[in-house]
Amino acid sequence: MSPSLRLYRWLMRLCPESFRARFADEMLEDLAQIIETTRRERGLWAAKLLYIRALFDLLRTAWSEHPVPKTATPSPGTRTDAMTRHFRDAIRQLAAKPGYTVLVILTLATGIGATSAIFETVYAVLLRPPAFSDPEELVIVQETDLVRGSTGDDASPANFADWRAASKSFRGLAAMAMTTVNLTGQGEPEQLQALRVSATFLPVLGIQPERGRVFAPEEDRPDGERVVLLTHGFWQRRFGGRDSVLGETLSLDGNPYRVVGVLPASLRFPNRELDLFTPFAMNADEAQQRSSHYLTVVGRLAPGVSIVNAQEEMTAIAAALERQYPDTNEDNGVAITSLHEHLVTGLEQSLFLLFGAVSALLLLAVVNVANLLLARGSARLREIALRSALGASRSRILVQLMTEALVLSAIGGAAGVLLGHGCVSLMGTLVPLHLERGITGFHPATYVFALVLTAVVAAGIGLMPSLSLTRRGFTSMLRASASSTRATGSMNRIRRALVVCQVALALVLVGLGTVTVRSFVQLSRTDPGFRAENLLTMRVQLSGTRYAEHAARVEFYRELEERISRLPGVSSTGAVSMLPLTGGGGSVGFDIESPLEPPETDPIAVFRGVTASYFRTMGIPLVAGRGFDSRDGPEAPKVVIINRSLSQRFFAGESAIGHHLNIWGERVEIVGMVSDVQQFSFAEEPRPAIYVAAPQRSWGYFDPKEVAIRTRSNPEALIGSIRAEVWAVDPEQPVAAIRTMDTIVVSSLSEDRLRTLLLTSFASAALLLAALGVYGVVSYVVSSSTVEIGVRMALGASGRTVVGWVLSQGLRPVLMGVTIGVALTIALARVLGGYVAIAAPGQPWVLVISSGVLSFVALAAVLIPAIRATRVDPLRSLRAD
Amino acid sequence: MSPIHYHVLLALGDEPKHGYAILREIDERTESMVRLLPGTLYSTIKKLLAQKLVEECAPPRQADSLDERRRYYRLTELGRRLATEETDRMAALVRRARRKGFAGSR
Repeated sequence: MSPSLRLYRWLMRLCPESFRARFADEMLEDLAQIIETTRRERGLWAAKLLYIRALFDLLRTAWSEHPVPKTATPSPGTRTDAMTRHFRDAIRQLAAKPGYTVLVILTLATGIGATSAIFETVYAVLLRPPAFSDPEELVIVQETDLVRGSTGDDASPANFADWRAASKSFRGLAAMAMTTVNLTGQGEPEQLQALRVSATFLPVLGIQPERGRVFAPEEDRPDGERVVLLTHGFWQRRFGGRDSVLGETLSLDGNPYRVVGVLPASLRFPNRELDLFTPFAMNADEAQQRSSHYLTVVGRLAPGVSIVNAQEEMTAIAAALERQYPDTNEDNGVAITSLHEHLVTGLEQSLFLLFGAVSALLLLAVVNVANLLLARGSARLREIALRSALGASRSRILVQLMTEALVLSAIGGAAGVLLGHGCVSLMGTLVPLHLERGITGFHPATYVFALVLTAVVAAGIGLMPSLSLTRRGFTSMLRASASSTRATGSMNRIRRALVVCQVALALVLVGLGTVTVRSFVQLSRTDPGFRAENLLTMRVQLSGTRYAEHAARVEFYRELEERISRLPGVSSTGAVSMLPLTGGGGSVGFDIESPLEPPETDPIAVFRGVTASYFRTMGIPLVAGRGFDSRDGPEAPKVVIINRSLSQRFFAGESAIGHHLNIWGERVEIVGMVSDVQQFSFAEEPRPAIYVAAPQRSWGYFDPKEVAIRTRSNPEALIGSIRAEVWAVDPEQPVAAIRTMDTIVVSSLSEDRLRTLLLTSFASAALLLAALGVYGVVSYVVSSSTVEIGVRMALGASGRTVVGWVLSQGLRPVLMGVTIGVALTIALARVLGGYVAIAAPGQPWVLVISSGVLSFVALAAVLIPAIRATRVDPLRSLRAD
Repeated sequence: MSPIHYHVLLALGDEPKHGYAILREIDERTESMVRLLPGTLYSTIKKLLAQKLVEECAPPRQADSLDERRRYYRLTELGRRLATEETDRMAALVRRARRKGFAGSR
């Protein structure tokens, strides 16, 4: 049953039992059918509209099907009777004023919904432990550089083997490394995301395959059988979830691999987009490597061992390895962090900021609703006074008012949960791929949170007005309500105080919003260093025995570039090891031959292997020297091109052309300089970068695998013919990740965009709520002071004087709120200062802008009732009394 | 008699129908001017059943297997008489209205 029908069925509980028993099934079936018919005949939106109407129709039916008590004053019954009566009274009261009720419910729904959605995100990302058995025992073990102070490097295979042999703190240690493999021999060739793992990997994480078995230890040896486990998603996508795939053989990078199992759908670690797992099966050469670091090591602590214990042991082991292998392990330490902590590092700040902002918004909404209730409460003074005069006890009236608040917040909370549920998938953007879970709906904890929130909100909006209304002596109430002048001094004071709170909170949110928008605008205006329009990119990663030789890879790209460039509409083609803004890509340490002065830190640069036409294709301008060309073949002297940042950092602005660098023991000459490119994100400063000419020699991981194609018009129109060219060169070669550079640029900003969107919506909502609050109070002051205004005007006060008086009434709490808000913002900026990048709302320009905006909006909200005040007819207002 | 009661009785005039068929009939006959939704429909049916104006009956023989599971309703004699009287009353009303010059330009 669809969720909408389930909601309908659930709401049927509001109908009397007898009615439900007789008609529920038929109603559901009919509803499903008319929705389906409407959808077919009039489209999706008509069907949605119809569904909403059906919900209201159901509520109306539920209301009318309940028997109405015959007598207006029910006989004193049991406590439950009294409660039911209270609830029914409350609902009648609210139904009598639909506009007011809807406004209140919408306000609360927005507040509760937004808060729950953000809570779900915070909970999913930060609070919920990873979905493994005994997750607190799981840790990540990383190498560190004790001198550079770096934390969290991957481990080398030999170090990992030694750790495993020497340590006693772990029940198991396992390693993994991400790679890509090409699947051929089954329809279209496809590039797959694979995880190489040690045989211990699944047992350490405590994962059972959904079908088949885990890897056997002998399959993790170089002479073992080649086997593979499929992830659930890949199994479904490529094999339609067919069981017979077990035992079949897949051709991966040209080698046969037997499928031994399927992993469970719940496994999303280490990321959600993997296709298959294979054992490492390292050969002797690979297993003895101590200087290349590419293993992520996961461990499960032995019973009774804490992270601190394990850290002590591993530090000692690292020190022993350092003594044993000084060449490779000098200054190498080990750091152990809990898996959970490792996964969420760097996410807390932005999420907690959002959570704080949305809580402030909710608080504002609550204050606003309390204010509305109070306003209505004072309008109902006469009724309350009458009731108490007729013998209703104070507590009875209190309960009545609280019941109204409860009903309002219950409906608001329910609507909020629906709303939040609808928005929560949006939050998925905030959850990075490496977290093993997406956000699909609400976790039970979020429902509990929403429930508690609703109760707190009910207390908040109910208690304040109720107490202030019933605290007053009833006689004074009667008197006050009889003459509407200067009705309620203390109530007015409370309402003004509420406005002060609202304005202060709104100012903080507007400040945050302003800063976020500004930093987002700055980000999106940042020059990426290349021209993104009319640029198509794709990954064409060569692998397998066919391309084992460097010359074969060079030849492949040469022919591919030549073929693609001949296509009509293509102006040039180039290849690179990793495109900008696609994450990662690797760096390299280098030495400068005879530097002007010895550099302070070990020089490190972003490292990219490119083909000669890469810079031209990307539109990266050459600033000095020359670009790569056909001269730079394998026989010629090795050359590199650097970027401007590297030249500035290490050559102090002098020309670097002609200088030599040492990279991986190779002496290379700098022949050119290009301008900087935002390699990793728009937010960071450009880093030094070195580009090498791919045809000269293999740089392993840094050999080109991504192709960029500059077109004269819409690049997407060429996808088909470009793919055909790839397959013309090699019909077994997969083409992956086809997208335009524009798409890459847009998605690299998606997280910032969402955060900006959220914070600005919070700020706008806050502004609106604050304006409504101010307007409400001032209108009230005006309407309850008509006599006073009338007298003043009768005594000769001009319209301007009256406006001035109202303005001063209205703007006083606003100014107070702005002052408090500014102080709050400054304090907040202090607390968050330097901690959250965008938490700079304490800057003067932000304060000026946000208080300006807020005061302007508040002024508008005050002016309307102020002008209305001048229309007061002195005679009539005096007569009315 | 309320217009909705009348519409439902009218829908059952020629043959027994299940709830969805009643909804469709009314929708088509009024060119979607009147669109009943399940809540109102069954609330109405409940009242009509209580007043013995309609009654439940076996599905007609030509109903397919999907429709067989549904409950069918038909007019009782009382229901038919009441609907007829109501129609006459309205027809008389319309005639009188026309004479007073409320005739639409057809």
